[in-house]
Amino acid sequence: MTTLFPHRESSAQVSAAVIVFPGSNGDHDLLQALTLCGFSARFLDAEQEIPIDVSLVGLPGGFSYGDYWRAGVLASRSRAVRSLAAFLQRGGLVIGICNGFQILVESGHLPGALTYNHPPRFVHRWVKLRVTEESARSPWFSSLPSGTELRFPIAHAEGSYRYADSSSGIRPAIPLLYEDNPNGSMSDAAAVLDDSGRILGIMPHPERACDLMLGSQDGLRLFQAAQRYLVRRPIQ
Amino acid sequence: MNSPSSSDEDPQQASVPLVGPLSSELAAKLASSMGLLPQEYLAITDRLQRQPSHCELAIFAGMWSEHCSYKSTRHLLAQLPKEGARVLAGPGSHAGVVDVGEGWAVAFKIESHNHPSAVEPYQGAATGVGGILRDIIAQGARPCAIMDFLCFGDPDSADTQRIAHGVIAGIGGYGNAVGVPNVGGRTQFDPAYEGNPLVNALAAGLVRPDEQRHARASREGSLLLLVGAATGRDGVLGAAFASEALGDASSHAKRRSHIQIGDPFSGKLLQEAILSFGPAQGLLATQDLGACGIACASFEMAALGAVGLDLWLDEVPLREPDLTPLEVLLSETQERFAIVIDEAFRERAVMHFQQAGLTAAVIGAVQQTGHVRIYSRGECIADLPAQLVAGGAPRSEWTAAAALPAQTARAASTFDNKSPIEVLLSLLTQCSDAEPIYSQYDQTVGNKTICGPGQAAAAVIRLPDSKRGFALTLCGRGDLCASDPFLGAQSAVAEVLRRMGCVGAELVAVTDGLNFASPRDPVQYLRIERVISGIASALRTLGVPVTGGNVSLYNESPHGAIPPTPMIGGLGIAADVRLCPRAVAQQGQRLYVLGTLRDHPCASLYSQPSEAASVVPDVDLDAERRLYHLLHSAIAERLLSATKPVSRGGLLTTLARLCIRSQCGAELTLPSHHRTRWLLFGEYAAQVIVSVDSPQQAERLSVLAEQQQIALTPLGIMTGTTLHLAQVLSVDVRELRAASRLRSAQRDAESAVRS
Repeated sequence: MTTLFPHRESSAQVSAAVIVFPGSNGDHDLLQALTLCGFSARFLDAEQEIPIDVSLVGLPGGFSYGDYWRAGVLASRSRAVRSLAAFLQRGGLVIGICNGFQILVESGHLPGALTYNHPPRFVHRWVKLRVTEESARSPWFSSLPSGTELRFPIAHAEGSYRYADSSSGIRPAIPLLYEDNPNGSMSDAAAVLDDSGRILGIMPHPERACDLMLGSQDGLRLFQAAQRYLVRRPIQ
Repeated sequence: MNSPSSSDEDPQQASVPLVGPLSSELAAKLASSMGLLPQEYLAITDRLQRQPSHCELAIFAGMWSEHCSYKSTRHLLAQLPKEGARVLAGPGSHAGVVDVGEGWAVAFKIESHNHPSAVEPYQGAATGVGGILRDIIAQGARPCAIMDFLCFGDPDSADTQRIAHGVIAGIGGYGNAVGVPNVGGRTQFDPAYEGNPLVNALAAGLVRPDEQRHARASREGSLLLLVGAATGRDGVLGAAFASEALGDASSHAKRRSHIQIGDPFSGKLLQEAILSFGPAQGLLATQDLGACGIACASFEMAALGAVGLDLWLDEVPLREPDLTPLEVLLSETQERFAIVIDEAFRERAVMHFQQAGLTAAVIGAVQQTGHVRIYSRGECIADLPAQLVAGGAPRSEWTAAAALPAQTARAASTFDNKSPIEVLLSLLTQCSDAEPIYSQYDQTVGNKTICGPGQAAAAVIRLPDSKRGFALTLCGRGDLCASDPFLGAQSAVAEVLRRMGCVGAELVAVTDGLNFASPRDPVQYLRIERVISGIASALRTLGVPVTGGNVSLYNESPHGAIPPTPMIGGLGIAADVRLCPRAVAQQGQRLYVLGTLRDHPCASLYSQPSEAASVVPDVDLDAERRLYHLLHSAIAERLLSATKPVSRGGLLTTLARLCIRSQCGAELTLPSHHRTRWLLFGEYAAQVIVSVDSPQQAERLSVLAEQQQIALTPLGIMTGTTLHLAQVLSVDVRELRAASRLRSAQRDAESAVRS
C-alpha cells in the first residue's frame, strides 16, 4: 500500500539527499556511505529544491557541468544549491566533498576560495589528516576529539584553499589539517566549517574511506556523528 | 619503405562530384588517392557489378582501411584461442565479456590511440580513453576501471617531453572527469619509440550477464537514433590517417584536422543516458561511434543484423554549418552513439536523451534490403550492400621475410666495467617508479579499488557489496620482442599469469593490444606473424582465451619503426579480495624467492650489446603454471604477506624496488653462482619474491613448493635502512629511491596540469 507521506513511515531513519549535478561522479559513493551509516539516502536532481523531509544534504565530488570554467561556479547557481539557505534555517546539516566543497565556497555558504593546486596538477593520494580544536562545536566532529588522526584519499586539481589573510586575525574555522600539505592550502586546511559548524566543506574523500577493505573506515566516524546528532535533534 | 598512398586531399578529389557515374580511369585514380589498393578497387567493381560513385569510394576507403577492417592481420588473429567456459562475448563484440560469478560479468578491452597522440598528445590520449570507455558502455557495462600502457621515446628529447606531458594530462583529464578510476598501467621510455609513442588504454566495466547490449540492427521500420554530441568537422578521415606511417613533427600541423576532440562532460552525460536506456525503453541495438563515424556505425549495425538501413544525413544535428555529406558521414566527432529503437518509442526516446542535455535525432530506419542507402538533400548518394562494406575487405597478402635479420646491437651502455651497485642504480633509473605519473589519476572513485597502481602485482577491483573481485594486469615488452618476437610475446603472456598468481586470482581471459610497424615490410610482417603465433601458442598452453583486442599497424616515424610491442591485458577472478598479498613487505619478515635461480645470458634490460645476437627471452610456461598453482595454494592458506614478480631488471632490481616501496632495508644472502651478474640482473621465467611472517608459515610454504616442484630459496630478512646482499653490495634504501626517481621527460610529465 502506498502512503502520501512515505518519509513519515521511516521516521526511525534520518533522511539524507545527495544532490546530483550533471558531471557529478562521487554521488554513488556518497549515497552508499550515508546508507551504511543508517541514513535513508536518495539522489536529488540539481534542478529540484531540497524536499522538506531531508535532514542532511550531501554535495558530491565530480566535475559539475564539466567544470570547464571555475570549478563549482555553475553548480552554485543551481536550484538545489539556491534552496540550501531555507534548508539550513530548518536546522539541517550539509557536507560538500571535493567538488561539493568548491560549490559551497562558490555559493558563499563557506568562506574563502579554492584554486589550482600547488604544484599545479591533479593529485590522487592517501593522506593523513589531524582533527583540530576548531572542530569542537561542530556536529560533524562530535565523536572525533581534537588530535584524532584520519586517513582519507584526495583526488582533485583545484583544492588549494585560500582565505583573506587579514591582520584582523579573523580566519575560517579549520577542523581538519593535512599532515603533509599536498596542494598548497593556506594553514594546511583540508576542511572548513561555517560559523554554525553545521556546514562542512572537505577536500579529501571520507565517503571513500568507509570500508577497511578499501584502505580505511575513518570516514564512517563523520557520517555516524552526523546521524546521531540528527536523531537527537530532528529538524523542524 | 612502401607506405600507403597518402590520404591528403587530392586537388582533383574535391572537384569530383560525390554522386553519379565516373569514368573507370577517374574512379581508379580516385580510389588510389584515397588509399585503396588496386585489388581492393577491383573487388569493389566486381562485387557491385558497376562503378562506385565518389561518395561510395570514400566509404570503402574508410571501412576497408586497416584500422576498420584488420585486413592485414585478421587471418593471423584467427589462430588465437577464443573459447572459454566463462566467456559470454568474444572478439567481434564491442568488448569481451566474462562471467565473474555472483551474478556479475566484466566487459573489458584494450585499444590504441598511437597516431593521434603523436600529433596532438592531450586530445589523442583523452579521446583514446573516451573511445575505449564507449566500447564498454556499448556492451551495456558501467565502466569501473581504466589502465594505460604508454611507450615514449628518449626521455631527454624535446619531442618526447611534449608527447609525454600531453598524453599523461590527457589520460587523467578524461578519466578523472568521467569518474572512472585508473587502477594501474605501465610507462616506458625507450628511444625505439621516438616520434611514434604508443598510447594504449584498457577499460573494464560491470554488467549483469543478461543485460548485455549488442549492435545487431533488426525489425523493418525500427529507427536509427543518433545521440550525444552534435557532429562537427573533427576527426574526418581519422581511420585512414591511423592506417599509415607518421611523418615528422613538421607534418603534424596538417594532420590536426584528423584529430578528434574529447569532451568528458558530454561523455559522462552520455554514459548515464545510454546505461539508463534499455529494452524497456524500446532499445533494440547499440553502437558507439568511433572510426569512420556514422558510416561505420550504420554499415556495421546493418551487417550484423543482416538487414538494410536508410540513412538521412540532413537529419544529423550539426555543430557547424556547411559540412559536406561526406564529412557528416565520416566525421569522428566524439561522444556519440547510434541506437536502434522500436518506432513506437520514438518521442520518449528522443526526450530521454534531450533531458540528459544531449542532442538526439532520428537519422534512419531499418529496411530488409540488406543495403545501406544514404540520402542527402533529397538525393541517394550511396547504395551499398552492408555486408560487403563491413567485413568484405579482401585480405591483404603481404610477404614475410624468410628469416629475421641478425640482431643489431642496441645502443645501450655497457655494464662491463661497472660495479653491481652502479648496474643496480642504472637499472632502477630505467624502470623508475611511476608514482608521479599515476598520482595524477583518480584511483579510488567508485569505491571498488582494492589494489590500485603500484600496490600489488596486479590491480584488484571488488564487485559491488562483495568480497569477491577481479584482477587486471597489463604486460608487454617491446625490447624483448625486438630480440625474439615469438619468445618475447610468450614472455608477456607468462608475466600476466605470474602477476595473477601473485594476487591469488584465476586468469580467465585476456585482451591483446598489438602494436606493430608496417606489414608491407617483409621483415616487419614476419615479426607480426611471430608475435601473434607466440601469443596464440602461450595462451593455448595455458588454456586462456582472447576475448577481443586491437591491432595498430604502421607505427613508424622518420626515426624508424617501433619494435613489435604486444600488450597483454589479463583478467582474473579473485574469490576473496581480502587475501590478496600486496607488494609491500614489513620489517622482520623473511624473504624467499620462488622459482629456479638461473645465470645464463638471456634478453633483459641487462643484456650486453655484444651478446644481443645470441640471447633470447627466458620462457618456461610449464614452470609458470606450477608457480601459479603454488601461489594460489599459499595465498589461500594465508602464508604470503607480500608477493613481487621478478620482471624488469631481474632479481636484485626487483628486491631493490620492494625495499623502496616497503621503506625498509634487507639483509640478504644468495647462493654463489657461476655468473653472479646474470643471477642478479638476468630476467628469468617463473620467479617471484615473497615475504613470510613466521617460520611455521615458511615451513608450510616449502611443503607446498615441493608438491609443485618449485624451488624455494631463502633470501634473508627485511630489516634496517640498507639493502645488504652479502659479498655483493650494501646500499642505503634512500639512495635506491633517488635512483628510481624520474628522469627529465618524466619529471616534466610529472608537472602536467589538467588543461
